Amino acid sequence: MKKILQNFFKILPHLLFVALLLVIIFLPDSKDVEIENKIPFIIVAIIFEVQLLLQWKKAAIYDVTSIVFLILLIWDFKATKFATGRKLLLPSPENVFQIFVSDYPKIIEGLISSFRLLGIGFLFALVLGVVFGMITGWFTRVYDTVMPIVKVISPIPAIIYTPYAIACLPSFQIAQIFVLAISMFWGIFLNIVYRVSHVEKEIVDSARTLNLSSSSMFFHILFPYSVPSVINALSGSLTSAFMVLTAAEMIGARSGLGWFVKYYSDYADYTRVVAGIIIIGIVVTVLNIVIKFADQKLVRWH
Amino acid sequence: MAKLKFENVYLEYHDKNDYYSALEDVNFEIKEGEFVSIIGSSGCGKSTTLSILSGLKDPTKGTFYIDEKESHGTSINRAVVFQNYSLFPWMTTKKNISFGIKQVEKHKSKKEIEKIAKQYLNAVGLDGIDNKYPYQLSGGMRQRVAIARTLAMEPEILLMDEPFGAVDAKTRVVLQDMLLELLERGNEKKTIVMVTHDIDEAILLSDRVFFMADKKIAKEFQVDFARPRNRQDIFATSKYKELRQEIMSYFYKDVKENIGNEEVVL
Ligand SMILES: Nc1ncnc2c1ncn2[C@@H]1O[C@H](COP(=O)(O)OP(=O)(O)OP(=O)(O)O)[C@@H](O)[C@H]1O
Ligand SMILES: [Mg+2]
Repeated sequence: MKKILQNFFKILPHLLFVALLLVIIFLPDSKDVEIENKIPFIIVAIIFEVQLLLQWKKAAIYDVTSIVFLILLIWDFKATKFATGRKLLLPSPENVFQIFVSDYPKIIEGLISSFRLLGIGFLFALVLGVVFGMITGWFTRVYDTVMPIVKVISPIPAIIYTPYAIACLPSFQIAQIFVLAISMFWGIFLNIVYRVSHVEKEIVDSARTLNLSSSSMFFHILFPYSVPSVINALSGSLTSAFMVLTAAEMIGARSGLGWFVKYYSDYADYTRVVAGIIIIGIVVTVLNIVIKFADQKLVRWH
Repeated sequence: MAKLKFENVYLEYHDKNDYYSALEDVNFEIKEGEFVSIIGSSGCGKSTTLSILSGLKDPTKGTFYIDEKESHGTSINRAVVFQNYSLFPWMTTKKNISFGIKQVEKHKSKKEIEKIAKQYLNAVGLDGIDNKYPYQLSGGMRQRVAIARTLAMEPEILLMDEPFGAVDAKTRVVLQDMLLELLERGNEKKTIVMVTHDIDEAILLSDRVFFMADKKIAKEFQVDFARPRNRQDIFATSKYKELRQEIMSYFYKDVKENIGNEEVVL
């Protein structure tokens, strides 16, 4: 009995995939909705099926994929096949995924704009966080002076500074970079301070007996020793920085993914709004995958 | 001329508002090329003595001389094998050894350095693990790499803190023999100080054994077996048995006294 159930859950996503394709292609659309192009939606369904086939060894993937297909199926039923009246708030999936095709220059532009700010902010946070983190963690005197102040300032959410930064700094973009840098800085800084100040005595002693210069001590010992903590910090703060960015773009920007979503909500163009939200979700997922990859590649010694 | 010399050395550990005296009035001289072992019960100050010899700590009072000159801080002619594994975990085996060599031979090319590293890995019986990280090695292998790293630096003074403390009895024998052989092989004689808990190991390897108790060197034993030494031959002699007996009796005396004072026990 249990075996039958197990096999059923293994077959289920494939059944749902076939059902979804049949529904999209053959079930007539409600006369209230206009569907321009079904192919992007079909491609999305195929992508999910393919990733399932690629990861067929992992048990959990089957259930996750089943749920995804189920959601797409219900969404298609509610918004396309049996939609009644003008379904403004729930755009049909065919149209949402068609936006990826029709609006792709705008989406790419938004991605580039968001990522430029994020990248510059990240570089500042990384360099400053690593340098000051190592110095603060290593020198007891600096630690004792700086940490009481840091404990007060670091818990303040970076996004709070946004209006003030926009007022003080010459442009919206610089203000954004500033806020982004702060939102990532503390995580990196605090993680490195903790790691360096708790470095194993054996490591320090054996480095010292090699008679290293202080620059060598920082570059060859403390820095590589801290790399895992930087990645650890990033796994949380990079995605949350992206959230901060998109949220801020909704307030004052003229480009970026946050702006994209906000702009079309003002026009009640919920097809584009939902498309924008999905893209933001994809971006966050990709960022997380990149960090995981970096962890595996850079910290092979852990 | 003494290579290493302690003159009325005291060392105190200071915590926030507490202090602990670990060495009190330690005096000794070690000649160039001599192999000295330090034994004694746990907490008697062996590692502390070694950390002054390595330059990681300076005496609170008294003077430490190298080549008759007062010495402060670390220097590149001394290399240390620590009580616990002290390899850098983010470097592969080969990198760990090369990094040590690079600190001494600043002018050598990367290729030359790697060649030396390989030679020493081979010498400690570890071929084909160049690109492994320390976490991928067993405890005994790591300790061998640590020894290879220090030997590859060709230090004048070699300091070892229970180098074979964390390995099983069989590996220990293999490593001791390896060390004996490596020491014979070197062209100029190194001055070596080794901390150990193992009396047999101390006798087998050293020229003199320091017995530490009560925060100072309580007794010195001369070990004059000819080199090159062979474990079986030495362990069979009556001279060895007498020496071992004598050192043991000091251990027991130390333990008894300490029990009387309700202090540390072996
Ligand atoms: N950093 C430190 N701060 C305070 N006290 C210390 C410190 N390091 C060592 N001690 C004390 O100094 C004494 C000598 O320590 P040491 O490490 O030299 O002992 P040891 O002879 O090497 O012992 P073992 O055989 O267990 O390694 C011990 O009583 C120990 O508690
Ligand atoms: Mg010790």
